[in-house]
Amino acid sequence: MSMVAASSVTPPLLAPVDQLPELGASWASRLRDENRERFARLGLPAADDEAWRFTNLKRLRGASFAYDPNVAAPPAPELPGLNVPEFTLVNGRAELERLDGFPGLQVTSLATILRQEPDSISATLGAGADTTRHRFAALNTAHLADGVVVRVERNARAKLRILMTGPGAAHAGYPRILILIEDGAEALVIEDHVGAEGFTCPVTEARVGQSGVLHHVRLDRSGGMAMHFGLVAVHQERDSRYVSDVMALGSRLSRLDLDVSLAGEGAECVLNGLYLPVESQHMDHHTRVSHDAPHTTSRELYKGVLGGKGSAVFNGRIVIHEGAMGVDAGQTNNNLLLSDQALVNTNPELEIFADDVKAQHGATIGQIEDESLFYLRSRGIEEGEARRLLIEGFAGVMIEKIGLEPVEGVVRAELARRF
Amino acid sequence: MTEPGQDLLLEVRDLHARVGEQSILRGIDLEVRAGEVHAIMGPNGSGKSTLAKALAGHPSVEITQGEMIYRGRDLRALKPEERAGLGLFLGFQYPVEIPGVSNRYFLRAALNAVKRQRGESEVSAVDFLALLKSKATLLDLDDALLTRSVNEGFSGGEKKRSEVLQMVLLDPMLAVLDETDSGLDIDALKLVSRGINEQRRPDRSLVLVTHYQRLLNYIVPDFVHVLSAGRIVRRGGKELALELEAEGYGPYEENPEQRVPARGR
Repeated sequence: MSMVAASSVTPPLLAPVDQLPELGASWASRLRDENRERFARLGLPAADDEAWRFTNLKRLRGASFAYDPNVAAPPAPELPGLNVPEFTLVNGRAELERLDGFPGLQVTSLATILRQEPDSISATLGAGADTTRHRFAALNTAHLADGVVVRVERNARAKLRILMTGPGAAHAGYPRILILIEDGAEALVIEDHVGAEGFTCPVTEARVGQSGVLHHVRLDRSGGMAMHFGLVAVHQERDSRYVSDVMALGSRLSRLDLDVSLAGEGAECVLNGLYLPVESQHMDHHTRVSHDAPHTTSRELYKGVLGGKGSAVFNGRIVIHEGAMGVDAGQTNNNLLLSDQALVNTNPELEIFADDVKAQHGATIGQIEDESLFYLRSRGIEEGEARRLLIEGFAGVMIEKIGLEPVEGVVRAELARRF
Repeated sequence: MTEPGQDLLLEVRDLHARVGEQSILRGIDLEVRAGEVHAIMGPNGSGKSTLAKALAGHPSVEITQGEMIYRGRDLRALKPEERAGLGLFLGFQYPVEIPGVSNRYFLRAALNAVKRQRGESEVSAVDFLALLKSKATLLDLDDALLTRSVNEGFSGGEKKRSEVLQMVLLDPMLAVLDETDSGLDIDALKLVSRGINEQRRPDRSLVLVTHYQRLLNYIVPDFVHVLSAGRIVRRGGKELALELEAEGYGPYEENPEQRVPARGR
């Protein structure tokens, strides 16, 4: 193991090559090398980078992390009541080679696949994550070693929880997930980041085949000192459906980029998000929906409740490409500020190069309204409870959308604990 | 009609209040005894709603002078929720929409909050559902309105009936109903009036704030007070409402200097 200081002359955060395992496929080694070179050249986003204007990386620049996937991670809390197969990544390293016994569902460690059947993912691994635009995705790919590959076979139904634990304090982890939903398949995948205290830089790539459905629930339940910089890149084929519920509950400093490419005609995505920064937490959500094909639909609703010195960024980009007629895109971002020191920056970005499209967006930043509070209090409800009711009412809509009671319970408990 | 009782429930003396920089109430005197029905009438902008809000403790109304004594307590020292606990109810002119909070959940939270304050035991979810169903049927309120978010997507009439439902559930001693008749068609008005009339009891008083006499055809007041420019300028019995209906508020639109004693007739 080696300590890598972010401020040293060697490329910050990059683990030395001899710390990385041999990969079973030459194309994978090339992919890793290219991204090592790319990150070494580009480094972290600069302070004047427009896409990072409101997220200060000083805390990351000043820190140093050890890279050692084999170190033990703190134990993760259960998700009681959720009766779903589980696969665990510790510091990005798969605990098992594969998960057996679930027909239609193949869950295999990335290292195993690269060793045994690399050709099965050579066209998909790295195809979705744009490491030119996303420096942290380049950093993740520069440490390509292990992770998990989930394949849901044609017309099959499957559920899976991917439990991501670690890295511990002062350690870095680079988890990698590849989700392949074959034509007509339907899957629920819960990506559950729990208990990290160090620096996590995960990349999830998903491909949803023709008429396939992926419900992707992503929870960040990292610890209060953790830093989390992730990318989710989704590619959708004809008539497919992708539903994302992003719940930002943890980490001291976090950013998630969610890129969705609606590549096939009739594809639809529904992007829901909830962020709840308190104390000095900072949560940044950048989404980019690319309507590449005609008659594609996107619906996006992100909500934030901010307390203490909590801060957040919502940046929602919708790109409607030339020739993509009949597109229907909608984006909403609502924020509830509970303290004078909380801060949110919200920014819609619409780039429309096609005719005959519908694109709507709206954003609000507000506080608890006196009139609502008085209405509840005039009915005998004590002020504190009235506030809680209003906050739950605001955020509860996002929680209910998840549609999985055990997960909803976790989010509700977080909400109640915070506000 | 119930016989006006002797117990003084509410006593408002020389009440002055402002909203923002604007002085709205300029010396209101009002006495309400148990079982009485009072109507506060007056032209737009005369301060009717501000008086109702002052009684319930709306944060936008700043009391600058005078007092409000309710059941022997100084209302100014009580929070809105404490006033509700003591049996004071305000029916809102514009009921507030609360997105994401189901009406049923809200109603039970309110009922139990009030019961806790009154030292009564809380209502179980099962008992509450039965109670709610019986009361909602009385007001012809659809089940769907009970599961929806509070007031969200309700029609004007549904909002007002929902206010009366809240009143029925919370079982107040003094209900101040602010323009409960506005926006109601005749059928809805009859329904709401019936609901309110069924709530009349010798120990319960009503203050009806209304612009029009129409409501008073269905809920007959014992006393009518005419408010103009923040003062009560005339008092009378139910016949005064009819007179106002016939002659309009013309004479009361000006700013009169007279002040009428609390029980003057």
